[in-house]
Amino acid sequence: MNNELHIVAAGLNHRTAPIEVREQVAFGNGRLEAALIQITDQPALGEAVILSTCNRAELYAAASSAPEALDALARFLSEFHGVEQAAVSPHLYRYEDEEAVRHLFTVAVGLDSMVLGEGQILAQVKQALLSASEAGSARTCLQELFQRALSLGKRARTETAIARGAVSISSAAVDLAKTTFGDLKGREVLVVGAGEMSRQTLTHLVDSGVKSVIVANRTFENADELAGEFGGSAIRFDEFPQHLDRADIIVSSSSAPHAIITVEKLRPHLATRRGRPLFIVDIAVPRDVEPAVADLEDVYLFDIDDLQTVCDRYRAERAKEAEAVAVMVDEETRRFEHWLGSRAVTPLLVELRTRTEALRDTELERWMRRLPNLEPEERELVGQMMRSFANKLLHGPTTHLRAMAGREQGAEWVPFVRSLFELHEHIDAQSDEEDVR
Amino acid sequence: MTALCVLAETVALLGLLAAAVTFPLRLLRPDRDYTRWGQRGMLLGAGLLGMGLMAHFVRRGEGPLGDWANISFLLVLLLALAVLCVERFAKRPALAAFITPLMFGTALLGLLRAAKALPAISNHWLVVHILLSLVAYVCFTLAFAMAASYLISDHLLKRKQLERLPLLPPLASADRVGHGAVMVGLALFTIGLLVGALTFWDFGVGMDPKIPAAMVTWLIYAGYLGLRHLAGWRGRRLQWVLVAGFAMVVITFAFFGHNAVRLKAPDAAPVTTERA
Repeated sequence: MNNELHIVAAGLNHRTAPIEVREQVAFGNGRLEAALIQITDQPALGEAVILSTCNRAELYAAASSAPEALDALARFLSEFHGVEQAAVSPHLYRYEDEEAVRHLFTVAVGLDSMVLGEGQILAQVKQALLSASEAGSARTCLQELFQRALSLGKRARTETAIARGAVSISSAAVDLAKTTFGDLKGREVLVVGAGEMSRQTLTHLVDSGVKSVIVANRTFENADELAGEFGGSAIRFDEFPQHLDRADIIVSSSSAPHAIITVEKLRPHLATRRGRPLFIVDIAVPRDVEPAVADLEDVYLFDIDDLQTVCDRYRAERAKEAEAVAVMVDEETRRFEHWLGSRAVTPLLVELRTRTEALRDTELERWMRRLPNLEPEERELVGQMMRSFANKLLHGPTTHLRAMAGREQGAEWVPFVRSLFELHEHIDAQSDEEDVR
Repeated sequence: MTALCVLAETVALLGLLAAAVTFPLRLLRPDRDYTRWGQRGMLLGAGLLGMGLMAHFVRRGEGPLGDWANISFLLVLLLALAVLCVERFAKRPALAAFITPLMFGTALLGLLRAAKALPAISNHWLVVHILLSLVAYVCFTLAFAMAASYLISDHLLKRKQLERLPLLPPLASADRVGHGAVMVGLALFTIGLLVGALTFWDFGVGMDPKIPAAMVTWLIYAGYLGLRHLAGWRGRRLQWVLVAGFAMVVITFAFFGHNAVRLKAPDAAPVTTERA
């Protein structure tokens, strides 16, 4: 019987499948629990974890046969969602053993994400493990694999710059505002336009502690709704110039066809502001703010191209770090493979030790019968000598087997040692998982 | 002993020079960070100068106000302390770029003036005057570093050269710390001036160019606080007031300071020109 356990992964992500396919196989809205229960019923799979995000749907499993497990995963994915397998298969990637492990680690560190190094994926990996643990589908092997993935994900983000800097327009705007003001606590924000970009930027600003939010929009109801979301106040669109002397930060993203914040409008307020810095983010296209505003003293204007440049720079810096992170992934993959390999020889080592100890005890008993005149201390001494001899004899093969376990040819040693020591294959890898730990 | 002193002072000067080069270089070339060497140089330089002060005190029984070199070295030590505090709390390496060249300049000036010894100062009020002025100078230097940082950040923000910005404190922080430094510095400087004026009055010393220079310095910093608190000024122009104030501090210290040698205090010891 083969005691080897294989890690396999099958799934699709934003690189391999369009959104139309991804949304068909997503495990959202409480379907994950049902899926985890069903997947454990698959005879080809020992353990399973499902990682489902907006960008990916991936199934991980530990099984004794990799090809069977991969087929089972692919079949399960289409059957569970009621999608034709032919519709999913072209977008599906399949990894086994080292490649599957490396893939999960690559996902956890953010190298496989749409935005390199993004942190959300780590929380999603953690949630996937938690759900599988609760459903009882992740046991020793996948627990170990996912815990290592989480630990590696954290390490990559703290030891390298893979997650450093803003990579979205809205977060870049807030980063720049912090460069001007440091702490944003107590700052006043004027938002012109109530679109999605305004909402995203406001989310980051409010998270950073801005004091008050004023929203101006041509449709007052939309301004009111957005202001209400962030505990701010809404004003009519034509009232916003009155607030130019109070605001520290202006976020403009209206759909006006021409500039609505001009030098002419702003200059009278500069005297009132007396040099207090004004940070303006213009994320509208066409631009809301006249470019000449940037020439005004103590006014700092950034348009969407400037923010994009900031994002590009951070992306480039993250890309530089990708190589270092890939090395970390490789190292951790090797460590996990070694752990998995040594786990495969553990039943053999247990058996070898059990057999040696049984032989030792039998021989000891036989010889003690032939030496009835020995004192108890002398009997104890002979027993100690036999135990020491057996330990020394086993030390070499044990160390060598453990060292070989993680290597490619490690599995070849198992039948050889069995044959050499006349061991019978009766220990099942599954039943000995606790010994491995 | 003299040869050892010269060697120690030369090494100290080289250490300070390393700091004065590497810290500004960090600001000019953010991709090259040699500030670790600069920091070591600064610590070595300031440490050796501090040991020199101690040796001077032990050998000749003179305090740090014995001659111009010692006064300069004391100022360097105080500036090194300010740099370490700034680095520890602000964690912005470029701030030291504005202070370390001044430390090197101060130490060099002190050594160049070593021959011009002061009368030994035994008047306690004069000691208080000098010490308060020195601490005030350190505060003004810190305010200058913040103002310079503000102006450079403003320049970088206006030109959208954002790579170097993380090395500098945010505008608002630079403004706030600079303001705090002026508040403390001006209070100490005012007390120091009053103490100095009363002491000079007692000695019957006439007009010294240092006195109007100090008055102009005081007026600039008082004007800064007035503009900020009474007129509500903020921003770039206010930082230029700090730069102007610091320029006056440098002029006062570098060009007019030596006139105090003329001081003929009734209890002054004979002038000595040899440094141990």
